[in-house]
Amino acid sequence: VLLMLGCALAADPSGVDGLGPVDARVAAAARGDRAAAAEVLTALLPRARNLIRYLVRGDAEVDDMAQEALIAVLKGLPSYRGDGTFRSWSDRVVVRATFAALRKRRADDARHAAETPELLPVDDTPAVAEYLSRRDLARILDELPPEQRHALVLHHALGMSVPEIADEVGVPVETVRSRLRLGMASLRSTLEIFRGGERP
Amino acid sequence: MSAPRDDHDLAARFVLDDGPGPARRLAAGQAAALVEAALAAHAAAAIPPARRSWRRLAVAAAVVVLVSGAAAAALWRIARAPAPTTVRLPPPAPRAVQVPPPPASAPAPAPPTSAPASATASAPAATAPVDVAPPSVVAPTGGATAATPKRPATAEELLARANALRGQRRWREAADLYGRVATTHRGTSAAHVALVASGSIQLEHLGDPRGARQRFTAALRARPTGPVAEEARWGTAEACRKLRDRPGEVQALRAFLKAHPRSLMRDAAAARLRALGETP
Repeated sequence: VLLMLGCALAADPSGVDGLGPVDARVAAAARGDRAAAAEVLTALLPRARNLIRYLVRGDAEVDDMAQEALIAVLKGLPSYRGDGTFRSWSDRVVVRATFAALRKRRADDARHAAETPELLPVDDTPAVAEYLSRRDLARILDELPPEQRHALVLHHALGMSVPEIADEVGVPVETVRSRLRLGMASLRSTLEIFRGGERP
Repeated sequence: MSAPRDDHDLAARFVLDDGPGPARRLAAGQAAALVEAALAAHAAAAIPPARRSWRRLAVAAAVVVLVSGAAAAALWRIARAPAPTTVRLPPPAPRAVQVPPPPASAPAPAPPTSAPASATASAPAATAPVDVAPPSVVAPTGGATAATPKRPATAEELLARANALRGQRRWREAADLYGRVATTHRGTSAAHVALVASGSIQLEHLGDPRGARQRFTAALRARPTGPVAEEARWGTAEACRKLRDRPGEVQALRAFLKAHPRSLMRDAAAARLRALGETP
């Protein structure tokens, strides 16, 4: 069931960085062309890292997981049929690789605690403001239970419908819907706390 | 950080693109190193099996020879020995065919993926208890004998196959299989879900909003408060929109808002009503 997408940011049919379904680089990479594969991965990397950061708590694991996700993309390339956008296909691969990595890593909290602080830019250009806004959202998501967080990201960032998420995560539709509601409520209340200047 | 007015604004903050954030910024050199590492790891994973291929090939060939030999011998024996007895003893055979309901102690059936379409199409209406989830048996491939009649796939198995087809973007086949579940398991919750799922595919991938609307309507008529009633009502509005049926869309949107006031789509529904010149 692929409805309920209205509030989501729908995927751009042009694909990542021009990587459309019939992109020659994708086809060449699928045939084992290393240079083409490097180009495809380089184009995918920023989006994959952003998606992973939405899904996992903290920054510490993002690049390791991104590397695993890129490997999963390489492995899966021969199976990509080109009947959907390359971007939505690669998003799904990244999500699955991230979930697999999360299942392997259960010491998430310890890793999160060991993170080093980031040196944030001090200028206030729109680009920087946008970056900080996204970082803030990710930090708020860090406060949510992983199940709610994953449901919110799959629904609102990837535009997946409730039944699609249910398929992906392996839980009933009602459970996904409940996670979305609870997640949205938590997000709202956490945001209020952030606005008030006190961090939970 | 600005405060979102409502959930819709909050949802709109989930921006995913190639731009900076929410992942930390990464220097170009680091990005290149990460890509190179992924390429190297992938290549390394691909090389070793090729180098070990001689030994593995030899073992695999031996296994294939042994297994196929054993299978051939078994088939030869089955073909020669039991066939006459089953022919000479007619009573047990029909009895075995006529008693599909208690499969708990029956020999392991063929795996769901290998069940032929005809088996599901001929599923009798008596297989009603699909709401009661059967134990999920993953049968080994070699478990079934040639003489054992294949058990009709359950609604859950068919739904799982349809979901897999949908995951592979094989829209037409997925819609057909959902449609079959809706027909062969009519009146069950599985049929309700299948009806809405097939309607959604018709609407979004097969360019058939009229057919989609019929399926959504049928699903809602059967179960107005079913587990996917929300999707069915939203789908009805979307189908009407594609059909340029303005009164139908307004009616569907109002019904959606009335039935699902806490839906994540309520803002979108209200906005669409306003765009149509109606008050939500």
